[in-house]
Formats: sequence, structure tokens, C-alpha cells
Amino acid sequence: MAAVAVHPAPHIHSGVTVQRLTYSTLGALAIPVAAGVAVYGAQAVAVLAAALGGALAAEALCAAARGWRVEETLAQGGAAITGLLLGLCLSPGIPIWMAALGGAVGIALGKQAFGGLGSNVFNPAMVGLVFLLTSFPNHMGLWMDPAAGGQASSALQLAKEGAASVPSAVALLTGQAAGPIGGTVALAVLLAGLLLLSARVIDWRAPVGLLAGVAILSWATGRSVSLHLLGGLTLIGAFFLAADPVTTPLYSRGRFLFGLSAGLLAMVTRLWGGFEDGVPFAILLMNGITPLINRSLRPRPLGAGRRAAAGAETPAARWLRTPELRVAAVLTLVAALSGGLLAAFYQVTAPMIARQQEMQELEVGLKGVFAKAASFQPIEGTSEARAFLARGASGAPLGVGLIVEAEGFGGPIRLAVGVDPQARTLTGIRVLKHSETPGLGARIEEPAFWSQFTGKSVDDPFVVDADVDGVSGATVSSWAVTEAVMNAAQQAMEAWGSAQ
Amino acid sequence: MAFQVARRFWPSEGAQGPSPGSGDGCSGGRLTVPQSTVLLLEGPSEGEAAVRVQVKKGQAVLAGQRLAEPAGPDAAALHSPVSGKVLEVRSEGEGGRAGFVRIVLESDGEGREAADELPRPLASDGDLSGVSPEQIAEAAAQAGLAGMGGGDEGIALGRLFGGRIGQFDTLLVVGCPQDVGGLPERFVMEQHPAEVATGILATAKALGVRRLVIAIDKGWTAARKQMESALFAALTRNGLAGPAGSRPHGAAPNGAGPNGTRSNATGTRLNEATRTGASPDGTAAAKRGPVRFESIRWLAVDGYPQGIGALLIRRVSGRPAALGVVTLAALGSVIRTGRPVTHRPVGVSGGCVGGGCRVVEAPLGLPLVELLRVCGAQGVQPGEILRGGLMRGHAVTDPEAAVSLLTERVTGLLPEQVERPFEPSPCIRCGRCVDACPAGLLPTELVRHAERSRWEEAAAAGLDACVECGCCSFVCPSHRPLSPWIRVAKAHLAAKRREQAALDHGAAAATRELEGVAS
Repeated sequence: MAAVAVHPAPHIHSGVTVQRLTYSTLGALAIPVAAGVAVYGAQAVAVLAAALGGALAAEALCAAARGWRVEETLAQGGAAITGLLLGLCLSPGIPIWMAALGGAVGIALGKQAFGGLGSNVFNPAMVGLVFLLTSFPNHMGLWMDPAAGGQASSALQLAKEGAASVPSAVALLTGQAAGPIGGTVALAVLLAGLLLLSARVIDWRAPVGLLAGVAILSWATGRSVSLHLLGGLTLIGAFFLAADPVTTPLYSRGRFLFGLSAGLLAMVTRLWGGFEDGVPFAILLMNGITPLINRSLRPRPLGAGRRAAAGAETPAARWLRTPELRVAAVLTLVAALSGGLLAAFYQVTAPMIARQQEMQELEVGLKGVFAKAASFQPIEGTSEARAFLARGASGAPLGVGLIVEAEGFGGPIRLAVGVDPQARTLTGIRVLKHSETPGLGARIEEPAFWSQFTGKSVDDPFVVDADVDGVSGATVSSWAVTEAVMNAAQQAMEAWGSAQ
Repeated sequence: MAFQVARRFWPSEGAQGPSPGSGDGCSGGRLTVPQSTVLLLEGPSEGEAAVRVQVKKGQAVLAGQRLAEPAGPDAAALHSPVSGKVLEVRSEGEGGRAGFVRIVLESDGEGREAADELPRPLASDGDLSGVSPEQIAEAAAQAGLAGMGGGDEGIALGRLFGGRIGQFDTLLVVGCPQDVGGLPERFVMEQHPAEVATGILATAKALGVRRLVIAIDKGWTAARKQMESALFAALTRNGLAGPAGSRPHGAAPNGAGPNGTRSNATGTRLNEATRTGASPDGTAAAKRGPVRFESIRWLAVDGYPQGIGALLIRRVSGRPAALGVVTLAALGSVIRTGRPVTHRPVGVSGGCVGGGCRVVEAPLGLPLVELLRVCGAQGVQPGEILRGGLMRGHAVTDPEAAVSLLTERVTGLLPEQVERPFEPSPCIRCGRCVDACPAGLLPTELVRHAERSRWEEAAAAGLDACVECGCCSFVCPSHRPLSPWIRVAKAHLAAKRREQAALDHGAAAATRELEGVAS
């Protein structure tokens, strides 16, 4: 009786297969999908379906182009996860074609370009999302009110603008604050994540690390910890993006480091960056660093540590050899080098930039107010403002030009003021730089406002809404300019006197 | 056990494949061999482990009678497990494997002992005071004893015990499962603890070691208790502990042993006993006289794969020698009875024998097919027979494959159990294999090198540290053949090293020749 089969050991398997992991993840995703649809209705369905369709279509096209069996590739489930994840990260209000494009770009550029399942370096859903964020920034920040349906600021936007009241934890958990389709009902994502954790589909280290990173930095900067933990893409990032096996570190130590760093980076963007949510960028950045983490944090074979320790090695050398410190050292070194380089570059270029700016001010500002002047000669001894003696082509002095600063509503306003001391009138003013509110104070840069100073007597009272027409709704800006011009006129008269 | 492995890594997941069933995996006794059963005993015919056959075709033999005597320094003698007659002696070219000699016996089913031929036991009561290390080494070689599993696989005990005093300082006793399915390790500790204890003391004496580390699986509390009692009794008999018969689980103070090692109550007591009996003897005086330990440490091990001998030895400091409890039990039995090694405990499991696990003391030379049959696989055609368990077993192709000293387990799979419905798919870099590897290796990296025939790179990545536990393949969700690839790489590397060694040897000889010519 001869046995028929010959197989290599081991002869049993845990039963945890890729397909099982993928379909478990898809099953878990169904919870936030259902919650998002419940809150936003048909619009959420359309966006989710478009993102899913885009991802599946791109996967099918790429598979066909590679000669793979299309149904089999789609059945792996990876593209469906990417599509749904991307859809969950989007606003229900974005155009349908945009969601589809994001899904297609995520799969085509983020996954198939690297070789398909298991070969991609970056999370495909985040590649699609960041592509949309950077390509269509105007559409991406428009969120919808979950209750009323109109346009609304998301929880993170409110936090970023320093709004007086931000949504409470309960509001975020139950989907009462605007946000991405999948991030509106935080409770649903939380539930899905806990299910995946308890089924051991995902490892706890990356999610815990990410939540810890977000909590630490929001707490340390005095922001609402619950808002940053429950708002935006934090939970999706923790349970679905940082826990993606393909694009995160191989080892458990590395996975925690990945999560923690991603959480901190996401908070840096939220607090000081130009985008409302830093999670997509943090995940992509950490995806890129993952090979470095893998290389640095490799586990040591059992017993190898003892052999190393037995050798003649000082404690300090051993300490330096520990992988965590090496990573930290490398990262610090890279940061210090790039920082130093930037600083050096700034040191070298700062005077050049200043000179450039000055020349531009002379060109635009002073030429603006002394159209006939051929040269501007700085007048020494003027303290607060920079004053210049304008001379005509013949060399005869025409008047005094000043570059002055006024304290406006949104910051300093830089003005060029021209004075004809002989006629005791202004030759004109120009607004060179300001940071006033668009639509209100910013209207000081319109000729309708500044042209009224041309030919104005230096002996006028300079009172807004009396002899100066202020910009309506921008009293502070109007007064700031008016007072600055009045002071400049006086200084110009003094400077003229001393120059004579 | 399979479930235990599964639970350890990804607890919610059940094991796929054959179930180990409800047996406790350690019940059983000595198998009786029915009449006209054919046994096939095999030994090397050349090299350091060569044996010289002493019987002829057609000769009648008794149980325990010598069939082949050791001819090399690493050799272990062969003895007949049964009474009967020699059917055939096959050497190379006569139906035998190259480099091996095979003796084919037929049992007469009577089991008559060669009583007058058996050597006198060295110490029938386990008192080794009057026994020298050389005597122990000689007894092991003459009894046909070699490493039987647990970090000592295939080690020639005669060679190991010969003149090695001072080379080791610690004896590691491996009482942990080496694979899944049937637990011969637990069986010998529960059924033959006195033999194991005698084997421990004899080994300690032969190697001159003063520190003892006993690693027993965490869950095997009965085995642990049995071993504590037996060791205490053995030390008492060797004049080291308090009055004989005093209970080992007495009111001894709990705490650290004299060397700060972790010990439980019994360990402390043993340590105290060794201290009171200590004398300022050196290695010379240790050769005769009682066995002394400076420290005895009990290690509770976390199941398979942590208990694999080759892994445990890396956790022990100093210069440890590792021996499995099955080997030690056999050694103890040789010393106490003088009977040569003719049987060994084998864990039998798999669907062919009803799905449960059991341990039987099987005669060496019993064909595996026959072993499965007497264990309950009547009328069942095995789909695959493994020498070993489900995690480490090798599928056997030779229909004459028989129980050897190294046959720790035999698994008989039903045809429907051997199907592998999964195709390997691309690695998803989930890191489960890394988390599962008890040796702290990166199976993915090793396999990446192996797949590209980069053996040296694989070696640099720690290939030699792999103990082939199979856990990486067990957990891989992509069904990648990680463990098989690692074995391929190891085989290639070993061949390469042998080749290099032969080249070096030849070069050295040629150099010597040249120098001889020059002078």
C-alpha cells in the first residue's frame, strides 16, 4: 500500500488566506458605507459607486493589458477596497466624474504601475485622494451639512479657522458634523475597526500608534483631542490605511512607529499646514519611508544578541547600534541637513531678495507717484520711513517719495507716497503690499480709493468720510492708510527741508 | 496542537486540514508485534557511524540480540526488537541504499528474550556513584543509542560522552513538543520519569556539567510534577539530598537558588541539597562519586514551536549541551536495565488512525505502513504518510520506510486530507511570517534570496538559524512555500560548504606534499 501524495512540510495551514483578509476588510467597510449612505443619501451612493467603478475599471483594463484573467484579478478584492476607501474619504458633494477619476488614478498609478497586488509602495486609495486634493483643491474642501444638505464647514475646517464652537464628540460619533462620507459617522468606522482587530485581520500596533500620535499632538497644543481623533480621516486612516499590510512595515515594532509617525505628521498638517486634513499626506509619506523602517528595525535572530554582547563592545557603541536610535539618528541627520541647507540658502539669498524687493518698490511705487522722475536719491536721517529725493531728467528735484508702513486690519500695509513740497500737495499714493480681507479692506488697492489722494493738499485734515472717502465696510483699513499718508506727508515736508 | 499553533498566531482562526482529534496524545504502551511481521533495521555501512553486521541470512535471533556492532567512533549498535529469524541482509547493490546496510527480520510473535546475552546493568537502582563517564559512554554506544529528538537529533552519544568533560557547562533537558501530533516527549516524562532522571544524572556525570536547565512545556503540569519527584528521588539515591523518600513538595522555602537562578520550591531544595553535599572537588574527582549541580532551573516553555530543542539552546547562557527527554529516558533505561535500545516512543496521528493522537513504544524497524495499520488504519489507504508531524514531517516515498531512532512521529493522512486547494499568490508583505518565526528571522527575505539561487545572501540573512518549524508557511495568507524554499536553500548551502571543505582539504594535502618535496 503505497501513499500517493508527497508534499513538503508543513502539512497544515492556519486558514487565514489573502482572500479571507480582503473580504473581511470589504465586509468591515460595509459598515461606514452604510452609515455614509444613511446620512447623505443618493449623493453618497453616487460618489461611492463612481469611485468604486473607476477603481474596478482601471484594474480590469490593466489586468487585460497585462494578459491576466480579468475576473480573477477583480475577485482578489483589492481594487474594490481601494475604490470604496477613496469614496469614503470624499465629500458627497464632489462631481461624480472626479470620484471615478480618483479611483482610476489610484489603481492605475498607485497599484498597477508598481506591478499589482502586493507590489505597490503607496496606498492606492491615498494616491487617488491626493491626486484629487492637489488637482481640484477648490472642489475638495466643500463639505455638506449632514442634516440640512446645504454647504457646510467640516469639523476640521471649523477647528482650523479657530471657530468659537467645534462639534462635540457625540456629534462626531453620530454623524452630525460635516465631513467625508466615511468620516461623518465616526461610530461606524470605530465599529468596523474594532471588528477587524478582534478578528485579527489587522494588527493593533499601527492603528494604536496613529491614534496615539494624533492624541498626543492635539493634546500638547491644547486642541480638542476628541475632535482630532474622531473628525476627518483619523479613524479611516488608523483602521484601514495604516493597517494595510502591503504598504506598511513588516515588523510589529515598525508598524507602531509607522502609526505614531503618521499620526504626528497628520496633526502637523492639520495645525500648521495648508490642508485641512493631513492624514492622506501622512500615510503616503510614511508609505515612502516604510522600506527604511523595514531595513532599520529588522528583528535580531534569537541568540544573536548574546553573541554580539559577548564581543568586546562598549555599552555606548551597543547603544548606538540599537536600530531605533539608528533610525532616529538618520532621520534627525536628514532633517538637520536639509534644515541647515535651507537656512544657509536663506542667509545667502535674503539680502538679494530684499534688494530685489526694494528695486521693485522703487520701480512700481515711486515711479507710480513720480512718473517724470529719472532717479531717486535716498535721503539720510529719516527715521521711520524710507525717503527718497525724486529728481527729473535735468537733475532738478521734483519732490519726496516715501515708502511707509501702516498697521492695517490683517497686518502691515506698505504704501508708496509722493509729495510735491513746493506745491504742498501729494503727487499720489500706491498700495504696494497688504493682507486685508478680500472684498473689504483689500479694496484699498483699487484706484477708486487711492487715486483720490493725487493732488490732495498736505494741509488737509485727513479725516475718513470727511475729506477722504473710505472703503465701505473697511473702516480700519481706510483709517490706517489715511493716517499713514498724513504722517508721510509731514515727514516728506521735514525731509525736504533738511535736504535743502 | 494544530489548533494551539493557530491560536497562538491568529487566535480567531481555526486550523485548516486534519484535526488532531480528542486524544491526549500521550497514552499508549509497548506495541506487541504479531507473528510474521517483517522488520527492517538499517545502519550505515561506511564512514564514522559504520556498523558491522553480525548475523547471517536465515539465522534465528532473540529479542535484544545484537545484529550489528559499532565499527566507527560515531556508530550505534543494532539489536533485534523481536525474536524470529533473519530473512535478508541487504548491502549496497543488493537492494539496499548506497552507504547503508539493511537487515530484514521476520518476527515469530513470541518475543523470547536473549536474557543471557544482555550486559549487566551499570546501576539498576540509579545510583551512579561508582560509575565512570567512560562506562556511560561505552554503555550508550553498545546499547545502540543515539539522539532521538529534541535538539540532539542523530548525535552519537558514545562520541558525545567520550572525553568531553569541561567542554560543556550546562545540560539542557528538552521536554517540549518538537512537532504537532502525538507527544512522545510528554509520554516519557509521565510514564518513565525515573528513567529520564537517571539519564539526566548520567549525562551530567559523563559531560561533567554543574548546571541543569529543564525545559518543560507550560501546559504539561503532570509531566513537570513527575519529573520533579523523579529528579529529587534520583538525587537522593545518589546521596545528595535529604533522607530518601522525603516528599519533594515539602515546606521548602521558595525563592532564588544559590546562583540567583529562578527556581521553584523543589529546585531550591535540590540546590540546598547539592550545596550541603558539596566538596571542593575538581573535574578529576567528579569522574567518580556523586553528581553535583550548582543550580537547577526549570524553564516553562510556551508550546510549539518555542520548545524546539535547537531554539531552546539559544536561550541558555554558557556552553549548553541539549538532550531530549526521549533520549535521556532511553539512556536511563540502558543504565538501569542493561537492555539495548530496541523500541522508541512514536507519536501516531492523522486521519488514517481515526484522527486522534497516541503514543506507542514501537519496535525499531517496523515499517511505517505497518505501524499505522496496527494503530487502527485497517482497510484504509493512506493518501500520504509523514515521518514526523504535520508541521515538520517529511512525506515518505519508500514503501519500506520504517521506524528508526529518529522517528518521533508518524502521521497517516487520508487521501481527502492531502489536497492542497490553494495556489501560491503574490506576497502581500503582511509580516505574519516574521511575527510567527520563533528564530527571529525574516522568512520573506530568506525566500527572496532562495528563489533567485542566492545561497550566500540567504546565509548572510541568517539561514542557519532557521529550525524548520514550518510556522512561516503555516501562517502565510498567500500560501507561499516559505519553509520548503528555506530547506532548499539550506541543502544547497550545505552541499556548497561540503564541496568547499573537500577543496580545502585537497589543497592542504597538496601543499603538504609540495612542502615535503621542497624539504
